[in-house]
Formats: sequence, structure tokens, C-alpha cells
Amino acid sequence: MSGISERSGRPDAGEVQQILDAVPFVRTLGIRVSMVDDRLTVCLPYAPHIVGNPKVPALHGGALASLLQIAATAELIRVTAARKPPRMFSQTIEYLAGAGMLDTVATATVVSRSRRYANVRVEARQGTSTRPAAVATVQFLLVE
Amino acid sequence: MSEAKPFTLEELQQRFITQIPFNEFLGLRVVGASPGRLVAELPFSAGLVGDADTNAMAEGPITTAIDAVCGSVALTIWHHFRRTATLDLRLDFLRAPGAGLGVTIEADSISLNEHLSIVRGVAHDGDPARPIAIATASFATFPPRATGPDSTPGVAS
Repeated sequence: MSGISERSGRPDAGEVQQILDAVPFVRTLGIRVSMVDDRLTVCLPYAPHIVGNPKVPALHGGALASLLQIAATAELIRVTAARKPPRMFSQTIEYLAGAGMLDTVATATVVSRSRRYANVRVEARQGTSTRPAAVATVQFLLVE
Repeated sequence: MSEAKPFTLEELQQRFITQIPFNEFLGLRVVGASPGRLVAELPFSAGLVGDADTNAMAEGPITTAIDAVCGSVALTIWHHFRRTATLDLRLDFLRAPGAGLGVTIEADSISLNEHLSIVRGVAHDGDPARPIAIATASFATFPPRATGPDSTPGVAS
């Protein structure tokens, strides 16, 4: 394991990646976590099987939703130094622009957190576009 | 309105799964359709697991299936092919699916016109009375294609 409990600091990107990689579906999507400009950045690499409409062409909305969920989870793991992914109980996602055949990156912000709940805002972008492809609010329950 | 016949389950499978790579990758199967209602199954597979300790399917594939089935329920009303695109999707995850279980998605059209499709969706793992997730989604609707086998003349919005 990552040894997070032995240190007072937050896990780094490699440790968050290690926790996420215990989730088979994260590995299926090939999600990669890194620190970019002090932000935990979560990348969904382009792959032909995550396409939703080959004619437009556009990535599947469900692939973007999965990225947003995983990115929100990743940031919450980092902020709370959790050892496993917390339980997500709701998601509200808004699709703002088409997502093309490119890598998609997501960054998240923990907006509010108490002992029991966390509210995380997350957005996904492609390339240098100023407009996010999708944004979401994801809510988590932090207790069993 | 269109006088075209309703799509068969095979046609729906072709339209919204075989032709959509991520739906095909996940292994979605159309199992029921009636006007305003579409039902599909998402079979369990090891690559879709969210919690390796419990062997329960992850939220992502369930979200994807809900998005897909809710987005396509309009086909059961239009009886001809039109594209839809998700505008927003609100999901409540009520509980984890059972270990090693696939998920059934049921979508009901709440409102449909030439601009918007509003849909309610439920995901369960065998008992519709014990949902895993509930969803409300809105989709942009697009006119039928002007040419080609997908078009239905005279139905353009």
C-alpha cells in the first residue's frame, strides 16, 4: 500500500493513482492521474471504444460522466487522504460542448466538506478550449 | 406524424448499440421497447467492477447505460432515427449493485418535442422495486436526416 497513514501530508498523484487503480473500471478506461500546475489532473485517454457517435464524431457522454466521477473521487481522496474511494451518492452533470476524438482532462474542487458529506465540482476539457466539454457536481457520503 | 412502424428490438439494438462503440464495448442489450419506454441490460463483466472487494459494478458503466437508454427512448415514439445529445443528467446512486450482477436500465419518456426529450431512468439488478440508481435527464433533439435510409419524409421539425 501507499503508506499514506504513516505521513501527515496529502497523497501525491502517484498514491492517488495507486488507490484508483484498485478499481477495475478505472483501469479499463486507462485513466491517468498527474499534478499539473499544482492541480490534480485526471486524464481519460482517447480510445476508439469510448466513442458515442462516430459520425459527429463525439465521445460518449457516459465516458465523460465516468471521467468526472473518477476525477471528483481522486481529488477527494487527495484532500481527505482517504485510503479507498468514498461512496458517491449523487451526480448532476451538464454537457456544454461536444467532445471530440482527443484526450480529455478533468480537474475537481472540493467545495464543501463535513464529517459526513462532501460536495465536489468538476470540469472536463479538451485541448486548449476555454469552454469545458462537461461540468458536474458530485456528492459523496464519507461515513459508512 | 410518422406512419412508420415501430422499430423492432433488433433494429433498436443496431441503431443505438451496435453503431455506438462505447455501448457495444459495454455489451448493452435491448430487451424491451414500447411507446415511450425502453429497457436494456448491461451484463456484468470483470472490467466494469467498481469495488474489487465486493465485486460490484462501478457507477461509470451504470451512468453510461442510463445515459444511452434514456437518450434513445425517443426512438420508441418517433419510429424513425434522429440524433439526441445529452444536455444534463441528474443521478442518485441509492446503493451498490449486488456482487457479480448485471444491471437493467428502464427509461420512460416524460416529455418529447422537436427541441427536448425529458426522460426518467431507473437502474436495478433484478428487482425494479429496489433500484440501484434513479435518473432524470434532458436531451437535445435533432431533425431527421434529410437523405438516406434513416429519413422519414415529411416529418422534419
